[in-house]
Amino acid sequence: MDQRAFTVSLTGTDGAGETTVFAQVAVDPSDPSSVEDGLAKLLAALDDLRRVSARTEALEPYSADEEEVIERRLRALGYVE
Amino acid sequence: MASFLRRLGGRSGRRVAVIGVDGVPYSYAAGEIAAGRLPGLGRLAREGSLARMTSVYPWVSSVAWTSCATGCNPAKHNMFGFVDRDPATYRTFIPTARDIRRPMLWDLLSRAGKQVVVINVPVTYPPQPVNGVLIADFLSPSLDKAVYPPSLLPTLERLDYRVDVDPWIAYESLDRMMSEIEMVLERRLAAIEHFLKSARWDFFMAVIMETDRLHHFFWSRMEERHPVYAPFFERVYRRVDEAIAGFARALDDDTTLVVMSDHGFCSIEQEVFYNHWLHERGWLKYANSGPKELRDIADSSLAYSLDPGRIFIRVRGRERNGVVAPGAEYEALRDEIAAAAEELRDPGTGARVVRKAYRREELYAGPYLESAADLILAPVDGYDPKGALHKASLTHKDPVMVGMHTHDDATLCVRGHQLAGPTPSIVDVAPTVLRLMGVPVPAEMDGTALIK
Repeated sequence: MDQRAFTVSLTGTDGAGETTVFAQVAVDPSDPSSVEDGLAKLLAALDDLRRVSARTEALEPYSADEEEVIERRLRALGYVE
Repeated sequence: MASFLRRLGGRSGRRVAVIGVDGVPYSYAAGEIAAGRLPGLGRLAREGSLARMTSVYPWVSSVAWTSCATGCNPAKHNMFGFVDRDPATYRTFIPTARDIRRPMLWDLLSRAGKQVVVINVPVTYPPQPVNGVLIADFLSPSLDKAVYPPSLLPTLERLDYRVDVDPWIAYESLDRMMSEIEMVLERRLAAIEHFLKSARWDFFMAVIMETDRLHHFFWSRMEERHPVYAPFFERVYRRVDEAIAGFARALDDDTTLVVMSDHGFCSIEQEVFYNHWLHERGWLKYANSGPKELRDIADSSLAYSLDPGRIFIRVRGRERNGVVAPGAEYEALRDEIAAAAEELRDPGTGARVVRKAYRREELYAGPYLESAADLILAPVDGYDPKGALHKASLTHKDPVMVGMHTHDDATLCVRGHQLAGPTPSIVDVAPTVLRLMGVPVPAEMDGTALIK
């Protein structure tokens, strides 16, 4: 068995800046199913990158409703007035 | 026994797990260990080190945990409180992970190829990509926005994971708050156990926030031996201790376990409203009779306060319509306010409420110093600093919120290692973790590794 393990980082750029996601892939070139599994992990990482980038746009800043949720929580804890 | 002796010899583990117990005071933990009531933590302490640790100014979780994770003081990482203001507009806002200007431990480790799991560390919202898993903290508006990678959301939903307790329940019913704390704690512990055992990681860090919530609403009731709430308080501690013991058993000998808190706790004698005091002294004026937000202060104001105990001087060129000239005029006013603050007394008892008024450059150094408050008031323990704008009196004793943070009494326990040097500081944690994992410590870090 000739297993090779990699950490692959995938970087994308969107309106909010640069985003990097990571994938751990272990592949045995002589084992087609492990190659398939590795490719599936890379595709999942690409999907995560797409979703993180889309969410990044949506998350900054908080929406008005979200800010109210957080402020209310912090007020109950005495951290803001 | 052999592995225990090896650990005592200071052998560096390649993996590190940090369990945060938010707000657990060293003095309380040490006392409970001595009494045999926290056997799990007691065992870890005997197998390594247990120390009192200092926090940062101001000692709120957002600043303290960010200092812990960056190894830097606030003027380098740019986190100064749970609320901040835009000096040009006086709009206030809640700083998030986007405002942090230094890499966190997990960023450094991800770049070094290490796999990480990070759960519920303040301030990690919005979750940034890491080489592993990151579940953000109670600044997340909802669970679905707290998780990286997003594909882990179903796992957390299956565990019925909660971002935080609902703290408003305490104001309705303390009995219901007991159930709320225990319910969220169990789900937090289940998630920690799940990822500790099933994920691949080199660095694991999770913060149990429920201890902080317990302290805020039950600390003085524990001290006063309330017949229901004191046993509840101790039950939560026993449960956390039992969980930590279980986590310790699940780790191999190559993993160093760190248990730590970010600040201590004590009972509140009085809440102190610094804006009321500034207004009485004529340094703060309001533009209307019912000020609710910072934008309601008059342009003629010389100073104002934000939580907790941060005093900003309205410097010309920095603040919206600022009136105090930089230089000698600024320094004279700052000295005057600092001296007056240190003489401020509890009107009910005559006790001092401010231990020391720090000028920012006494506490901080770095490129974001200009964003810091001009004065940071360190209270006498028991006098909880508040930034409310318009209060009828200087002090108030709230019947529900009964616990406040303290600076000098955080907890640090490291299994398998003796700590070097004088009293550790929370900024020493990041370089210590990097040293344990064999990753270079950036020169910009203010802390030093506690392990030789």
